Amino acid sequence: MLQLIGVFFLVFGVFFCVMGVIGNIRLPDIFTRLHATSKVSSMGILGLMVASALLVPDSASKAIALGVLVLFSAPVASQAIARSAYRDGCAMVGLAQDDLAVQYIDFSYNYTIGEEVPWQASPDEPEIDPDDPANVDEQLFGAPDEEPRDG
Amino acid sequence: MANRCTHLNQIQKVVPSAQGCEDCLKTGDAWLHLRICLTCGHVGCCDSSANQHARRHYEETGHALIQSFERGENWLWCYIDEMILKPRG
Ligand SMILES: [Zn+2]
Ligand SMILES: [Zn+2]
Ligand SMILES: [Zn+2]
Repeated sequence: MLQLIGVFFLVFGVFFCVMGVIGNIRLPDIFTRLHATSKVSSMGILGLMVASALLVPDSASKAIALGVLVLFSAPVASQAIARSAYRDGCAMVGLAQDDLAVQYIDFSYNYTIGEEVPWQASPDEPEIDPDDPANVDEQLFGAPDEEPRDG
Repeated sequence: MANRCTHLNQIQKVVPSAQGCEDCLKTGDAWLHLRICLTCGHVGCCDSSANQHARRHYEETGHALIQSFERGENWLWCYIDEMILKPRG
């Protein structure tokens, strides 16, 4: 029975290794390839380690320790490779939007609904007393009929 | 990747054209979020809105840079480079 479960995990691990190899051949860029190959070093190795622990009980402690260590280190390694590839400018195939590509610029003003624009000369506008609580809503959100609606 | 927006010269000191989506207010439609054109001050609605007036304004005029016109948000978007820009600091 132990042997049967061991063989199951053997097949499980080999399956992930094969899928990783196929993915590495078929996928177009480093990021998607890493997605495939990181499964080899996590699920694949883990399956093989569990299998060897079951099939060769003498070395079970070694195999389990190895499996646990690989489980923790493999995702970290994959992430480090992906990050260095990104920083090096590796192209992403089929990229729709790069959320990490933020450019910081010298631009100070933040436009917001209802706020006074600093360089706007508005001599025609009636004076609003900022201390009058009745005016607070109008100051913040503009006249009621100009309020944005939901949806 | 890691490209730079080359359209920053389009940014002008603008005055918001309306306190809601200019075009939606005319037709009485609803919008989700507001974006302001940094070239002429046109206030339009975002791509998640039904009418997408901000994008339509870019397609009509070529004004590529918009800023979010929503309270608490402070980011810019370039339609041509399709990237986010943020004010420094
Ligand atoms: Zn640009
Ligand atoms: Zn609109
Ligand atoms: Zn414009």
